[in-house]
Amino acid sequence: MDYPAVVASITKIDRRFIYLLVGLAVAIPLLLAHQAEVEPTEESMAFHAGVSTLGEGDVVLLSTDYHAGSASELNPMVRAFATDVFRRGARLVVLSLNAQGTGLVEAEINKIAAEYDRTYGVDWVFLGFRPSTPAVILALSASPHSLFPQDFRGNELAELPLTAHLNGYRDFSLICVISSGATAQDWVIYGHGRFQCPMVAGLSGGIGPAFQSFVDTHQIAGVLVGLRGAAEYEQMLELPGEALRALFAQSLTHMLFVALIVIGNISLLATRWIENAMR
Amino acid sequence: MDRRIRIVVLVLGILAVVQFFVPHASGRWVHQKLLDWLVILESGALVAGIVALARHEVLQFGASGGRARIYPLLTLVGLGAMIFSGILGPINERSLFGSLYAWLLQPIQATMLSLLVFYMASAAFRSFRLSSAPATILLAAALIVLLGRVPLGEKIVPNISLFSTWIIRVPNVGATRGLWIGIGLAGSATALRVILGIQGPASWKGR
Amino acid sequence: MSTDPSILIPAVVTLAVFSILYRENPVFRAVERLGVGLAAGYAFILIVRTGLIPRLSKALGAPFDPSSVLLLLPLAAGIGLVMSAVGHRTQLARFAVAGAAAIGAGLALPLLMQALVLSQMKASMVPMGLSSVVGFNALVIAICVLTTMAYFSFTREPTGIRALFAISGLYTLMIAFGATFASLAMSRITLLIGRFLFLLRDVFHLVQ
Repeated sequence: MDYPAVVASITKIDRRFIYLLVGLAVAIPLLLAHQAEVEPTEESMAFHAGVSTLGEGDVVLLSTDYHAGSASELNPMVRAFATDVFRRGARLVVLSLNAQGTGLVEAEINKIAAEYDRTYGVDWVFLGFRPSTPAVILALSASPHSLFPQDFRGNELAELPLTAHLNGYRDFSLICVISSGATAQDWVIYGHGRFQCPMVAGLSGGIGPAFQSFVDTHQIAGVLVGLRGAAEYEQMLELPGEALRALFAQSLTHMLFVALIVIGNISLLATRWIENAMR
Repeated sequence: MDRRIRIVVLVLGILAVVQFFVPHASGRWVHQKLLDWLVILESGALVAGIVALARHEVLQFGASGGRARIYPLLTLVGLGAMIFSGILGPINERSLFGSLYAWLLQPIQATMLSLLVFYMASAAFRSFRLSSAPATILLAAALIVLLGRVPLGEKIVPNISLFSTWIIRVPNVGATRGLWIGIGLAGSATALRVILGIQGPASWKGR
Repeated sequence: MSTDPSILIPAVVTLAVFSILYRENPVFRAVERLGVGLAAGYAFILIVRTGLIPRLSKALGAPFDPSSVLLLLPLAAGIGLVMSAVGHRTQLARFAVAGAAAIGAGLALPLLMQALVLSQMKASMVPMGLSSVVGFNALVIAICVLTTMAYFSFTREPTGIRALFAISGLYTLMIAFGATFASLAMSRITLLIGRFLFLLRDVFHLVQ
């Protein structure tokens, strides 16, 4: 067997073959519709425990910061969180800190609110988007009506029963930040740093590890990280959704990544070994 | 001119710092006004960015010929369609504005970002190599976390999730905590330099 | 296969974007440029229609109120920024940038120290030792914090013990970056799963 040729063909493999493997690793598990089970982590249980403190009539602020690009990862969290809040009879004030995700969030909450027969203006309100995250976070503490004279739908905030008497963070029993970017950091600095408001977070996988240190310092009470975090939360709520369903595809694609890294390195080592042997 | 900018920066910066230590109603009033200003200024900056994009596309449309003209034209069509549908009609999910968002913008953004998986997989095969000691450590940590974060990994390598969790909760926290402390110190120093006019707009001369 | 335009149009757009995986092509470029325009237009409407207009109409409703007058200052500076974007550079734009930078710096200054530096330092100063797992982990975290900071200390050239600390810091950072790479890969895989789920379930009805 011509080993040098075999090794050379592995290292020079067409990128489109790798793309095909990735596509198959995602598509096949989805077609098999296998539902995975996960063991909740301490951080996810702390997130759930934070929401469990809510009672009938409590008001929760949900701050979302992601665009459609991160929707598959963070929408399941928003869905599960809104369901959890509505099931407990609590009320939801939602705001968006990413312009591109604004329509997405409203549509999601709208669906859940309809499912649980919640009335807009009484049980939930969507404030919409404002630029400058630090200013929005700080302004919500003192003058929410000045920053948001109207909600996203054009209603006067002072005329909606839920927001008419909203005066700042003391009116919120919990703040939940669902984020794929730097606004989670702004919430830690400007929200918790200044007002010590109780906060839980749902973060995309890319930023999750960097925020683990804020969980240790209790600046964030509990955190869901990536699809796995969303799946754990769905499981805790006994609400099997997209996250649990996608976890098998996620597993298989992770294995493909591991295999590609290992094969890539073996082929490199083999090339070096063959080169040395031929000298 | 430079002096006026320096004074504006110094006064606004000091007001923004001082209100933090003044719980009096006057402090709160100043705080609220400064926040209002910041939101309006950043809105202006974003609008300026969008206007600059439109101008760039118009210029490119004029400068290019043939099939290349289609691309700036498409950007302008997308921009115009969103702006006109947003000005002339409602902006809820059932409106034209909402439909343009849900039918076109949302799938474009979601699919664009999902393309990265393919490139990451290709890069993992070609570039993630045991070339040096730091690269080997990075590779080992990545492999452990990749395996440990999914249920299938635990079946292949028992107890890998414990080790993966330890990496995230201990050395990762140590490293990121060092980074956060550095970010905090450097950010504070930079903020002070901006307010004092050593760095930032007050130090830009003749531009 | 679905015939609903609210499913079919996104499906066509999704496949057009995926076409780049085969090779560079004009369909992908066209969709990409359309997306840029749509995203900019969407942000414009949210900023102007839902943000600026309600606030300014309120201010114009009471033009002699001091608060309303004060809102006109940043508005004028913001208009200066927009003018500079179309090629008319004005002093107002400089004031706008200076104002935003000054207010942002002033708001951040006291909070950065409190939220990032002091809280993180406090969390690192906990009982540590080798007699328990918690103590051992706290010791490892403290060492990692110190070595990471040592790696970014550029005041003097690292030699001797300082070099050892800096190299250890590099290794610590590599562990964190490895964990971040894995988490990032996980995050991006999820996005692809979302698109495939849309195609397989909503468009082709291959899965429930």
